[in-house]
Amino acid sequence: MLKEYKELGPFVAWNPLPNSEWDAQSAAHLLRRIGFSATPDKTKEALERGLSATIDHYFAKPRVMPMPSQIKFARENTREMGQRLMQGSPEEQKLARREIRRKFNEAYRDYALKWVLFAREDYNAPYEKMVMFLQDVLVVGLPKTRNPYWLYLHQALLRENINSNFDTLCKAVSRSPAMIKYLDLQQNRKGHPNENFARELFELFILGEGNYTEKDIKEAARAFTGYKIRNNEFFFNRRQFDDGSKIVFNRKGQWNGDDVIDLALDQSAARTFLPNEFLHFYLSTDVTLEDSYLKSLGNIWRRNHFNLSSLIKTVFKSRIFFHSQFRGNLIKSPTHFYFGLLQDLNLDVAPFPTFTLNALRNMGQPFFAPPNVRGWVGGENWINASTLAARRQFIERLCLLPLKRITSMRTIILL
Amino acid sequence: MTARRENSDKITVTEKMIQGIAGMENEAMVDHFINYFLSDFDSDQIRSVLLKYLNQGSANRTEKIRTLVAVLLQSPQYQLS
Repeated sequence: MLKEYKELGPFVAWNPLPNSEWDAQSAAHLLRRIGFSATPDKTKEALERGLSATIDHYFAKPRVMPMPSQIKFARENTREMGQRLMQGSPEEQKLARREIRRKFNEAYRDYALKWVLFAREDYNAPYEKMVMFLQDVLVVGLPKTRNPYWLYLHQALLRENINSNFDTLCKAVSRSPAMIKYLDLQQNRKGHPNENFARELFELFILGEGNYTEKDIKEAARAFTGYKIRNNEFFFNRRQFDDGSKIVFNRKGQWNGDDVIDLALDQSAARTFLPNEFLHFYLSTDVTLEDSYLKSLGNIWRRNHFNLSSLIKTVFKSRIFFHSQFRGNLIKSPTHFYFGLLQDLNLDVAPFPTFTLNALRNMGQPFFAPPNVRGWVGGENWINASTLAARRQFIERLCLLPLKRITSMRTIILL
Repeated sequence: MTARRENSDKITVTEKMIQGIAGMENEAMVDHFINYFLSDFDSDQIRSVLLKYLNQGSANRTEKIRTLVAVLLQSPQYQLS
């Protein structure tokens, strides 16, 4: 009978797994959860390296994904293309608009493929999965942001801050051009506040629903006035900033955006919100840990100044992470499934954007295009008749394409 | 890296990959694949079905191996981590 995680208790649960329990199965479980697959050679390597050293191996050293060439083009020509949009006849403007769309679409596809190639590498995979987790919390998306260069900057910013404190990351994200566009910060100015960013900051990034008031949002929105994009970079427009006194979480002051992020992180809900999201992504989508377990983890995280690296290490080394209740219970996301397949079969990414990107799209997870600001829901939502068919079809292409027939597979299913 | 990828012939399962494993005994091969792809699961039932499939019929062996791999990867268990 499957044992329940509650046998551990809320404090022991977050203690490191004893060395005596670090075996091949545990190593494989770790690799599949922090990354996408656990091939026998990688499992053996991890087993020999040890739990702590394996986590350091995959997370300690910062990674940089080189800027794709088409993204460079989009960055360097955005201004010129924008100028063309402002000038000329309506017909010329229409042509210019079409041209910009085409260039940006090419840049997006080039970037998506380059990222897939980068994340497929065994050494990069766990790091990029963590980037995906952060992308799923600090959500921006192509349909509204439109500019692939800003998406690239946003992702690079998340990657740079994987080992930072969460307040540092949130402050950087509030200045990300993609975020400024996605949550309408450009429209947020003194006397005409736009609450979108402040609302999502509290609800989806730091605190969760029910842990703030409408008044907190209204006041916080005033603190983020003046955030603009100029020449593809963050620009603070002092004249549009509301420097008046604000009351946020019952504290009065002439708060600016960074102050509000600090105030939010001072709320007790901040200790457990991101850890809960982290567990939802890495541990289980169908089991929510009891409050006492979350609080215990949240307190550890708080003591470590909301450092993301400490969250990674605490969870991935913990006894609860390796508990039998959490083995083989997580439905792979399309991206996990895709990379896992390639790594398991030791295959390379097909360098054809249409083949590769459509596969991810058909399986239900197009690159940088989540359904809404809440990101991907995950779990059972990944599976439906059409996404399951896409998974099957992708496997047939990888395994059976040279045969050009799948009749024998039907035979085996009938056995 | 990109150049290597663009010249890669490793984007689908090749005959060479299959040949590397085709010499194994049926039981050992099924155990190998189950251990490789579905190690966290109790796979007795799928093991017996796959063995039955390998042991019967006259289809080309490499074709059977490809099919076997595809079936394992399409199994509900492989969708889980």
